[in-house]
Amino acid sequence: MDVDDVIVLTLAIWVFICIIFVKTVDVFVTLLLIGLLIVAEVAGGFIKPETKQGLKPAIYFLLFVFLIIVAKKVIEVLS
Amino acid sequence: MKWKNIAGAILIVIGSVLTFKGAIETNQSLINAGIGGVFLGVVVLTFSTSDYVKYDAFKAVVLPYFELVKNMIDALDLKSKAVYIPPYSNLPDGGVFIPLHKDFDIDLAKLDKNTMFIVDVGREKEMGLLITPLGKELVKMYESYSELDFTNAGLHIVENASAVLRSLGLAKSLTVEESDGKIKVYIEGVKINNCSKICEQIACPICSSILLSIAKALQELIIVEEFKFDKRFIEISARRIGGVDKWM
Repeated sequence: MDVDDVIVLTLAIWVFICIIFVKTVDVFVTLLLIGLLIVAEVAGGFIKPETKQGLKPAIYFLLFVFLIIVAKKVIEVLS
Repeated sequence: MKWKNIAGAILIVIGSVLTFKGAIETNQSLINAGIGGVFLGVVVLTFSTSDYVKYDAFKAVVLPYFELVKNMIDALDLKSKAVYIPPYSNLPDGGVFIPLHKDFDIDLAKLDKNTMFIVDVGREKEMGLLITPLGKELVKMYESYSELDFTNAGLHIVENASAVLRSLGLAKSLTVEESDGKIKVYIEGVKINNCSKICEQIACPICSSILLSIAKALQELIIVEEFKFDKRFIEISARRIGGVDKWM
């Protein structure tokens, strides 16, 4: 099996597990971000540069959503 | 590649519909499934950029070139083993010099990328064949995949090539070590199995790229000592013979 296929399959299994066990959107998105960051870091040497660049917008978008979640939680705690 | 694009697009569409439906019904599990679908669709689309040729077609196209170069080396009756030259001002991509005699000398100042047959020199010891390394494009890939510049980075950096070779399906693993001034390279699971004793003079792009990476990482010329091969395993012995300044 191709290395790219292994990476996609790993992420698919991760997403599937998260869908089964996680009930809230906040935690789900955070777990997706963690999964993507781990894959990008661990498999970075196997991924060609163009693909790495292609993954960056997804990582930035999920980070942005994560920041909104954190801000929301902080506001909740403060109020 | 086309099928991956279609699969990615379908996942994004299904994911979007599920997210929308989940939002209307305020069902968080459905929203999660939708987001997961869109996420996987984006990942599949991102990873669908690679384009490969079939292995049989690759062999049919590339192997005759190997044969041509090997026949040329045979015909020239060059006695010495290959010397890998790291990139320097005259040869920005580095080079492979195959001296005419075992007792050789190289004047790097006289070499440049437009020279191939080094015959117009005063001493016969300096004669030989200078070729562009067959693995220079692979070296560029090693550097771009690992986002590192191999220049003067030390021998350990060359092992980054292992991930790229595995990713491209060319070899399974690569180990590089040095002891008592001897550099040993072990390549396992090599896909192109076309090795012969002539590899000591002109190696395939895989071995050539690794030897050139070593020369670049050490910023020293290295001479091949021996190639051993057994089915899909290759062991290369090489030796440092000094930096660019020494041979100028």
